[in-house]
Amino acid sequence: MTIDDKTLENLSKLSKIKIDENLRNKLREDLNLTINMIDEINKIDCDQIEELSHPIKDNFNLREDKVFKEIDRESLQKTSNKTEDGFYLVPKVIE
Amino acid sequence: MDLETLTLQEQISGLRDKKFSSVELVENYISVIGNNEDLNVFVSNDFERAIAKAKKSDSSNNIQQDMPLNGIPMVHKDIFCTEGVKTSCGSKMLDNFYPPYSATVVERLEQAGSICLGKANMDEFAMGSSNETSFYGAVKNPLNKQKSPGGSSGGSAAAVAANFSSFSTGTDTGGSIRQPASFCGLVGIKPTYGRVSRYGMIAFASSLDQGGILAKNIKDTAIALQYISGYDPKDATSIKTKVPNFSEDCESDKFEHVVGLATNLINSFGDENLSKNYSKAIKRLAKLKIKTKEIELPNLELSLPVYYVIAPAECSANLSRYDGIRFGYRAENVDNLEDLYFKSRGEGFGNETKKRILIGTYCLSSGFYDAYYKKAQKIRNLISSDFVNAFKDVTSIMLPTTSGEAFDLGSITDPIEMYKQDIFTIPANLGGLPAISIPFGEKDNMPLGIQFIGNILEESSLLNISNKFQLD
Amino acid sequence: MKDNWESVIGLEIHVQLNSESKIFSNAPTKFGSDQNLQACEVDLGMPGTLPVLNEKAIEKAIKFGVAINAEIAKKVGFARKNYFYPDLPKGYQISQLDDPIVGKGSIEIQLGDQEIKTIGITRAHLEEDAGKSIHDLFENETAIDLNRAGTPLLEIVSEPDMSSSEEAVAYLKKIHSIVCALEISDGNMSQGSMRCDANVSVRKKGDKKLGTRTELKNINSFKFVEKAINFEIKRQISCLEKGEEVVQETRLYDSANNTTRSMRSKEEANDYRYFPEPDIIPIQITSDQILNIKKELPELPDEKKERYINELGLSEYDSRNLTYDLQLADFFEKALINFDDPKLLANWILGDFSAILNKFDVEANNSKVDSVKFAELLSYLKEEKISGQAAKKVLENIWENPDVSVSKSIQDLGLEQISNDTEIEQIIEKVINDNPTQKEQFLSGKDRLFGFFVGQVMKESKGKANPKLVNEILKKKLV
Repeated sequence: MTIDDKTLENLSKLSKIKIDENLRNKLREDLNLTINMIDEINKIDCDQIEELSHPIKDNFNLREDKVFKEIDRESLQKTSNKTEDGFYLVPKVIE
Repeated sequence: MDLETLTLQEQISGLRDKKFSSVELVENYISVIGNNEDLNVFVSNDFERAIAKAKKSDSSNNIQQDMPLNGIPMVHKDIFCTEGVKTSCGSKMLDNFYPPYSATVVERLEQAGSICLGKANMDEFAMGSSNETSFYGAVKNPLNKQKSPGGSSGGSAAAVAANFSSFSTGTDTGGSIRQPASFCGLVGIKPTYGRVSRYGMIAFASSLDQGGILAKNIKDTAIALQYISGYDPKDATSIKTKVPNFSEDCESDKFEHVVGLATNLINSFGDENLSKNYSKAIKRLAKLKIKTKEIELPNLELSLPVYYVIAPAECSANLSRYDGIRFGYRAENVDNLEDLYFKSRGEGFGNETKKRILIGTYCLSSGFYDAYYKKAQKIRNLISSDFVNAFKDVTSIMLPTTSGEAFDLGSITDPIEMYKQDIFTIPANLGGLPAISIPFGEKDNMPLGIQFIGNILEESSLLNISNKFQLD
Repeated sequence: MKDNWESVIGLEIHVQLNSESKIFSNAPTKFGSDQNLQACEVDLGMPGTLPVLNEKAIEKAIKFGVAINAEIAKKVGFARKNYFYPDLPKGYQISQLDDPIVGKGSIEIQLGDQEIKTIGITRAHLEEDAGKSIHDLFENETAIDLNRAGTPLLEIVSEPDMSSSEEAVAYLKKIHSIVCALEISDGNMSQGSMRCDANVSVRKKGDKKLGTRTELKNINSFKFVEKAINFEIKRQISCLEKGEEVVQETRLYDSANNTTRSMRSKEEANDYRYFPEPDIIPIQITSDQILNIKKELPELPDEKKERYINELGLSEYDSRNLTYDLQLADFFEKALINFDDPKLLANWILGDFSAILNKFDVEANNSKVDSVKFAELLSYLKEEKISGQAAKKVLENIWENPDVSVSKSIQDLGLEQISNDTEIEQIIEKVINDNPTQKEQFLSGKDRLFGFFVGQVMKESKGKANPKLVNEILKKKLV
């Protein structure tokens, strides 16, 4: 399985990352090197093995249903480049 | 007295005995840092506030019982959110990010009384093994400025090696504490997954990331680790259990050790230097009369491909939040929403980060999930089971930290060669296990490291064996 | 619907759970506060922040599962659903894929006098709500309000077991009554506490294979569910009859124009790249936990309905309608304390009382006439002190004038019933004298005219004459 330009285009779309034209070839090459390395795992037969998503099992923690703090909108929105009247703004979306 | 060369332990007692003040410590560090700016260790400093805090600490008279690190300067990796202080994660994306909250690790060290001097440079979003992926340029290895300090916690390692602080915080997703520690001749510990809260620590790969400590020796590592460990209700994966007294445990006689050895595996790499240093370490263990046992880690070599599926997959989702809307870099002159996304992310992320996001997206995408992500999770289980089996017979496992000494900056251009840097460190992250790197041996005047991997929550035993090992 | 077609409908209902705090953060869930005042750093997906699951969300989901006799998962795992949208702060929604907390269950619905029909529930899973995008506030920008982001949602997915919009509405009403009875949601559809997507397809009668379906989004009231589905069924049939194909797509219901329109076609279908949420380790649910919740389950709408039928002697139809709306049922039970004719009470609550609630768009809990006053009003009626028509007028009067008592209103409107024989006799005599032709016709066998005379008498008495007495006396006088 290799990444061609079409696949790269799709990955760019899914991850919403613009790929510079002058980097495209190098990037595609590097991605294929990595995928080749990763493909090692497909030589192993482990159909019967369960997947492991969390290294420490059965360690779940829940939260009490409590409201803690006052929300300081002003300080939270200081990190944004575009707010008005307490809203975050994005270019108009036409549905 | 050269204040900057003191260990953490010496600083604590020196402050207590009033041999020097916190202000003197801080000001001395600031001047050492000022003389070594070419190392490119800091992304941002917090000197003014540090001096103010030092003054306050000095005037608070005695070191209080509940503030054991009162007045002690330290350095945070720039991955930990610090309220009101720029937190860039080594990325242009967060070059303008001043978080309105602090990481739990930061809060706890502050509560213990320590003073943050600044934020250490790092590979962008902790993705790298050389510090060269940082938006702010690579950190230089203080032991040899041609060399890389390692990564991703390269700035944290360089800070301690260059005497900018006695200890620093780092994070380790696949070796990012241990490899730089090894390259800079330091001790570096990655605790058990869940021992240290990840809250406020900017996520790379959530099931692998763990915060830890870099310091000059084992005792200092143990002291500092104490204050960042423990359950945090803000991190659902943190472990609800009592934290042992690490600095007591590291010198205790109560631990029995059987060290697992993987001689065949190490020799199978066919690297003479690697095998030589490993057998030297085995001889040291024999000399110290520490029991050893050869073990099998049959799937260890699969760690690398497994890691390069899981870590990018998790990061591809973790980094979706950087969309230019609520924080971080926002591209200007955009035509529409799509344009805002594509340009902000295209311009805000560096190449290595983009590459990992794209790999992760690929491994999760429709049609490839089973072949890559699911398969990797299964093999992760195999690797984890190898450890579980090994720990039936041994109390820790000794492996090299890296396959060699620090390399020259710019010398590794093949991405796979770079990824292979982490072959011995990644397995502990996959298993969630604690692991420590301590200096052992050298090559071409650069330090090498040896690594001990412990069972879940057995940091005390790890620190203890490391300490014994060093008392040659 | 044309005879040779049938439709297949499944619903996905999103129920906002009424916890105090959000599903993964400590921010409040209250509705209607100013923009972004209820979104904390976790809800905003700020760097380094982490989700911690609210125990109440788990508890409320289990309650629902137990109420529909569904299997409750022993292990509840979460997954990330990846897509970009400005009101989805993290770029992924924390949802459930493989281990939904509620497994297969079912509920029963009934339309009119038809047989009871069982509707299967495939699953119900927990997830976080997204924020809101407001497109019409600024000229060139869309405004993002993340107050709703992170509100706990239970998504209830039905089997495609419904075959008409009426069934879909009955199903939705039933789910509504259950979540309200369980008190796991306020069920307020106008505030978006309950939202519904409908999967609709049509096929020729007798066909085994399902037709291509479309997904209707954004349906926010019982009325719209019916209209949107009906529109979509018609649209699909006319498509197919013209020889065109139905495109599998998401369509938005436009309530203003009563149409549906295409949102995104399958070509651009999202690849959500689900994978297990690494920040949340799967939660174990014990059988003790389920048992305890089972023990404390409140009376469910079906149980209430049975009680109304068996203990109060109400009809199946009235019982069902009363228990669809638990506020109405609650009002009914409260009024019953002061008025002991359940049948009459049910008639009035389902009739004129519901009508006035509808007219003013008010729910029973906010009725301007409380249950005590309502019971008093019906007592006047039952004791024949006022007529049914008069009671209606009084109800409207005391609704509009909450300070006025029932007796004062009757007096003010001059509606006390005339139950005095002589007074009624006098009116009847006048009416008979005024209508000699009708009298002749009646006596020559035109029985239907009896109603005419009753009407005239009621008119003459301005509706105040006791109808029973009018009947009795009129019979005597007309002979």
